[in-house]
Amino acid sequence: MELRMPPVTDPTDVLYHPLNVEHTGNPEERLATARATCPVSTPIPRVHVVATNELVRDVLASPEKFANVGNFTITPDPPVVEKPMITSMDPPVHTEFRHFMRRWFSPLELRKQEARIEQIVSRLIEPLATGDEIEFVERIANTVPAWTVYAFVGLPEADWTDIQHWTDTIHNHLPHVPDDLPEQIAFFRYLDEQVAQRAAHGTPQHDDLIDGLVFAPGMTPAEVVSHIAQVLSAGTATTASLITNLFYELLHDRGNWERLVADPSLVTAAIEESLRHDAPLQYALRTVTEDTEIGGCPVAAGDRLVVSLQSANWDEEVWGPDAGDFDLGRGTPQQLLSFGVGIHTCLGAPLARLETKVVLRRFVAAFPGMRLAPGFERHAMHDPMLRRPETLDVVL
Amino acid sequence: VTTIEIDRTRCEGHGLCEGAAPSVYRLSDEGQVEALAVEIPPELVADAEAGARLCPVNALRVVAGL
Repeated sequence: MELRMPPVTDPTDVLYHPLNVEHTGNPEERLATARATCPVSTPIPRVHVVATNELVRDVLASPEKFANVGNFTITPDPPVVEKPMITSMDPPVHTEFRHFMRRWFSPLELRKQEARIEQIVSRLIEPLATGDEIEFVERIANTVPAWTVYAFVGLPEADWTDIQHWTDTIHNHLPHVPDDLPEQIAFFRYLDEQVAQRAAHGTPQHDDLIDGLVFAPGMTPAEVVSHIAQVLSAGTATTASLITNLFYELLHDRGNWERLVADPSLVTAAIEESLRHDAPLQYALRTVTEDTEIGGCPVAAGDRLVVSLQSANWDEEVWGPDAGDFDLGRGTPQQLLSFGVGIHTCLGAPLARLETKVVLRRFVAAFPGMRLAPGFERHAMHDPMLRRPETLDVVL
Repeated sequence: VTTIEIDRTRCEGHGLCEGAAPSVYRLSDEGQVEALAVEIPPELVADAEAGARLCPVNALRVVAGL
């Protein structure tokens, strides 16, 4: 997703600056201080960071006061876009469009993708052998979500390699993608063609998202392309981060991996704990619609909120003093904020969980001796919104 | 008695309630949440609350009666 940003200002006296990758790459201590001393801080004029679990949930549960208009800009008084993507919509437009999208995105529908995900993982595992050293992000964690979402949307398998090359290249240029980037031009030309081909049939031929959008009443081809691009973007880098973070934590403290090998029924608990410990998307953004206050701090209409999903998941008030630890044996389940909460809850969450479950199950079964490559060190990804190691070298 | 209020306009069938408390909640074949009993026995109240707490779209409320 595209993040438009103002220049990073002097960060020395700022607790947590949402655009400073030094802060977002290693946010543990900064966010702990924010939760303890300043749950609503203002690192950029009129841009406030919300850090505690209670306040994050309050904000996300109040869409009338804290709207999605302006996503994903991070500047105050964001311009209103005429044809927004779902992540920038507010009720009643959002309500209607989300309801429409549920035809494809209901958890019941998404869980039907399991057989296809199994095929994708089989294809990626097949050439691998015990003892091989691989870079896990590129080979597995990026590719499984990418191919899964392409298949789900309805893009032909013959084109997957090209699509992945274009979108990876675009992503590497974020947040400022040049208008004339050849891969971006090729990607949107391709989507235009796909949409035009489907529309040329006159009636739906496939029970997939492309035909669903192409033949939705009142939807222009440009809107269809924009929604599809949004789904591809939302469903790939985020899930890649989930899978990467999970494997890193399990292999970094390898007792966790051994527990899973001994008891594969822990797979679901491991995924939920990874989602909590490492929020793939570290924060969401909202726009204040009316002068109000958050946790006693006044905020004004047009101000922007950086809602720290990660900090909410680390809140000691909810998770206890060991909230920062990765613990497969956490007791009473609490609400995770990684997929958000309320009316904008991630539509693809069941698909992300399913993909991750299939990958973990298959690797635990196929490569019980899997470990981090000798000398591997975790380096945080240089992306302000996403949390994961940049690379993950493993020995199978 | 303790009961469960389900807001069907909000439920999207995420199923986290069923995962946390399968003896209290289940998803119907249409993917909508159902409470397995009208009245929640005391020994299941904690489970019912855990399931409601996990709902990402705030569709569930456990109501303690008089």
